[in-house]
Amino acid sequence: MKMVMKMRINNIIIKNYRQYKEEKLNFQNNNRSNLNIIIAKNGVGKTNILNAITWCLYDNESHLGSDSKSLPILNLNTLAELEEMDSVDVSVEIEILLEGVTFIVKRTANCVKNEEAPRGVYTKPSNFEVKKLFKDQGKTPEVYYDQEASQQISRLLPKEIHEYFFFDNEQLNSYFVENDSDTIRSAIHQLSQVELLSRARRHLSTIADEYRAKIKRNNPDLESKYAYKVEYEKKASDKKEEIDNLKKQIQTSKDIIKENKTITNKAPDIKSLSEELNELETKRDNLKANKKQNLTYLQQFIREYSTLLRLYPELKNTHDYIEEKQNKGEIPVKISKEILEDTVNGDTCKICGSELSEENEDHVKSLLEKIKFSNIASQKLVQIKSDIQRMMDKAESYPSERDKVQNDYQSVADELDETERRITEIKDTIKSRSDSEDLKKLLIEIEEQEGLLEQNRQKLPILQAEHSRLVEAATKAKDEYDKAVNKVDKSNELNKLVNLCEKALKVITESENELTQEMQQKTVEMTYETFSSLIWKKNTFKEVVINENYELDLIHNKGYPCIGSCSAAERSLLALSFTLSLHKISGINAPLVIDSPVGRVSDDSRENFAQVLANVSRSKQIIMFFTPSEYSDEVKETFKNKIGTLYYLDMQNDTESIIKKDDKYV
Amino acid sequence: MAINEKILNKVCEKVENDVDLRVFITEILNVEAERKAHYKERYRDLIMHFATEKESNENGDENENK
Repeated sequence: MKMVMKMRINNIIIKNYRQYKEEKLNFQNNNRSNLNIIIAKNGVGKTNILNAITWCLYDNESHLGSDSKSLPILNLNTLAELEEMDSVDVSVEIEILLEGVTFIVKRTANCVKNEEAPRGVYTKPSNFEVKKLFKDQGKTPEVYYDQEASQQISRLLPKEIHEYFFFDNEQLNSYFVENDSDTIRSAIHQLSQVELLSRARRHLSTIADEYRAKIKRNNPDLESKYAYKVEYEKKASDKKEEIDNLKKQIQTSKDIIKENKTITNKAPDIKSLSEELNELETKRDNLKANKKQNLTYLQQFIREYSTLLRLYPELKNTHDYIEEKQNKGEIPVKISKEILEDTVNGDTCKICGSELSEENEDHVKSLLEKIKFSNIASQKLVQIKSDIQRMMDKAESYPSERDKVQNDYQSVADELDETERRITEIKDTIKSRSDSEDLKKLLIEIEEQEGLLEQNRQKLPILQAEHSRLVEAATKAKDEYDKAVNKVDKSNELNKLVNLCEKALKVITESENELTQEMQQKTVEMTYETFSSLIWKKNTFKEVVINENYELDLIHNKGYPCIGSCSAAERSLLALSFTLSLHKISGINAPLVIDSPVGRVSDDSRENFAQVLANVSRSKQIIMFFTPSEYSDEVKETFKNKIGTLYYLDMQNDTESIIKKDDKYV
Repeated sequence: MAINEKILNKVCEKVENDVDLRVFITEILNVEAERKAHYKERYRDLIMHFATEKESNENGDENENK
């Protein structure tokens, strides 16, 4: 982790900017904390101080209301005092202190009164200046203008992430209300700079694709291979998306079932039934698996026996034939047919060597006629007969074996039917006993989600198999394309450029994925650490979680997600903890400037939330804007002796605000 | 803005043995960190430089070895 540098805003000088003619806000330290407060009624100009800050730093008024949008940036009274075509400067200057260096940041825009210009004034592009003064007197101050000045600010308070330093109560309250996963993803990516890797990956891919397109144009024969590769990569990617969506649906169903069961299981009249139901559901899942296994075995059994049964008549014929030959004494053959044939052909007995007489030759010939099988054939037939016998025995055992396998399958199927019948019975009983309509709704929803879950679970392996097939096809297509590209001209310069891009892309993508996971984990840990140290309800919350879709949630000690049921104060605290953890991760300990921090917090939680802000201000400068009603006696009491500076904004006239120090609020 | 050390460390860890690739990626990340306009031109220059310089270095090494 980088060393965290503490930063503070010393003062802000505003000239001719919107309601302010010429005002200076000095923010001082208090020994115990770093809390600066500005109080003003609505419409007096609190938010425009926040706008003055973002305009000065980034040339952008991030929090401009619809009323202010229709007015020029130049103070209306100053404008009224000008003659036509006279000019005057609007400026905001902020002094920031960081580690012994004072940054004086100033933005100036020259405005010319011109009745024909929109809103009666022509505003020239602003000039930007950053002056760096060093604690070490011997070191010469440095001055930067415009783009260089912006680069200095970019290192100090990056524009991309300014909304995590300067924000309003709406932002705090709505952070997690709508489960805005994009905000959280973007915050983590931007502050951890994983976004840099994402952008580099996207840009490098674009350039690499351009090179590939050039290669393709140079070699039209590659066109079809490239199209094939792209087609399968897209199909695989679409299928993956389909799988991810299905997984999300499965997770959602599980969450709903879990959440609903947490509630229904606690209902006193159905508790024991719910327990039995849970056991039966586990049993049902096991039985389903057994039934599937038995069915597979039954199918194998039928396949194996069907061949044997079809062959049975032929086997029986062959067996009987061999047996008949055995009974006739034709096999096994006792005299070698080959020796007798050689004897007849050679006119000499191949056993004793004597010459054959005519009579002997006739005898040998008559013997040969009787022998229909050679010795080898006769031995083979005897062997085959015993093999055939075994196959016939097996085929004859078919009815009893079939009954056994079918019985096994049927008994599991029956038990499954019985279990499912009992599950339905219990569910009906639970429904009939639940007198509350809400409980019934939850039970119906559980049933619906269970059906959906089952359907999706069956669909998932099919999609996964399709995806594997597509990935395989895409890999093959890519290999084919790569081979073709390489064949065209291995020394082709474009190929070298593409190779470099691909090597870099591999590293960047891997780094991006790993860092995203690490940062996500670290953010969760730090958010919970900060939240649990600041929350007034100790022992209520167990952990903070972020799922793969970047949805942040708070887990109650009893194990269920509870962000939806948290109070606005608790949600604001979670958002604040999240923001503070992002500050730590980014290594930028910038001040927090918050407009109406307790605006959305209910009266009874304001004191608690104010206490949190006071605690945070011990380690970080906080500048806050309150309306007089938000700054209640309880809030005032909480901040007592902790405030560095307190200002009160008032209207001088209809169009101008002035800044006062007012002791009545201290 | 300056590039977070964590990012650079992660990239370096992955290309420990290829200094050219490491420098190339760092330069690419600098382009992104500075958010300069015309990123394509910068990228193309860097890619051309690193793809061809590496080759000329390798050729140089080969010649020396000869």
